[in-house]
Amino acid sequence: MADGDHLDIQASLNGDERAFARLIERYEQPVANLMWRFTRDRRQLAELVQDVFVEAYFALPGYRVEAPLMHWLRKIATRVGYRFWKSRDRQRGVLPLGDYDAPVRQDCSTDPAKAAELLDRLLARLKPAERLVLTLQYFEECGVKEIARRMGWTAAMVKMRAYRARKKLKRIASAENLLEELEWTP
Amino acid sequence: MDPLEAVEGLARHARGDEAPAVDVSASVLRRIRFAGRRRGMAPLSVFSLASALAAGVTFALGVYYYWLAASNPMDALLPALQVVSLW
Repeated sequence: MADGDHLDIQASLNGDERAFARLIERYEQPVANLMWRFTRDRRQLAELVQDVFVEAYFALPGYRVEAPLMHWLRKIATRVGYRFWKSRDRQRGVLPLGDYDAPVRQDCSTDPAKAAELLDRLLARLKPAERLVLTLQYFEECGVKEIARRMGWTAAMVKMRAYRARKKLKRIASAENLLEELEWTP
Repeated sequence: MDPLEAVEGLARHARGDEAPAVDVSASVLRRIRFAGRRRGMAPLSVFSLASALAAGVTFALGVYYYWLAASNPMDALLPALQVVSLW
């Protein structure tokens, strides 16, 4: 861990607000990038990032210094995002996939934001736990062990959820004619 | 192409998508101060209330026994004797 982080964590534990503000400034963008996988709404994004740092502040006495701070923040952020999805699950509506003015090209030349939004709409049709597993695998390139560590689940549970989620996603992608929608060549 | 392969292809595109810039330090500190006050106050107020109640009851009992002892010392000892006999 960086010396600056270590000093700022110690100072934060002693009640120094400016030290914690420095930690926030250092990590708010990486945390926002992760929370952006949980919401596409900018206002909601800011609230989720705040939730992560508020939770981190009160959990700081339990933080083990040997682990990098960002690993610890990612764990908190993933759980905050998952709780957010679970709380929104009842009001979840199905958004149509085909509201795009430009197709997502197969050669990676398209704006990643369009691809991310389309993928988010697809994944939003899954249950929160299944959505989480695929979101972390697809967007964050997390392995089974990493997902299990972040969520406190067993590896078998993660594998089972990933398997079910892929099966459902395949069915959804077929039903929505995703390949035609993307205008990708089979 | 398998539809799932298409989804995975989409994911490769999507990885480059980054969040808009955020600036949350001031609002986080405000929320921490507010939450800290609430966390600090809740047990304190319960404790204060319990202490005030206990002090009030003790004082009322003290006044009652003082008055009882002044008027009839044997009556004042009676509750204590009853407790001892029960024990």
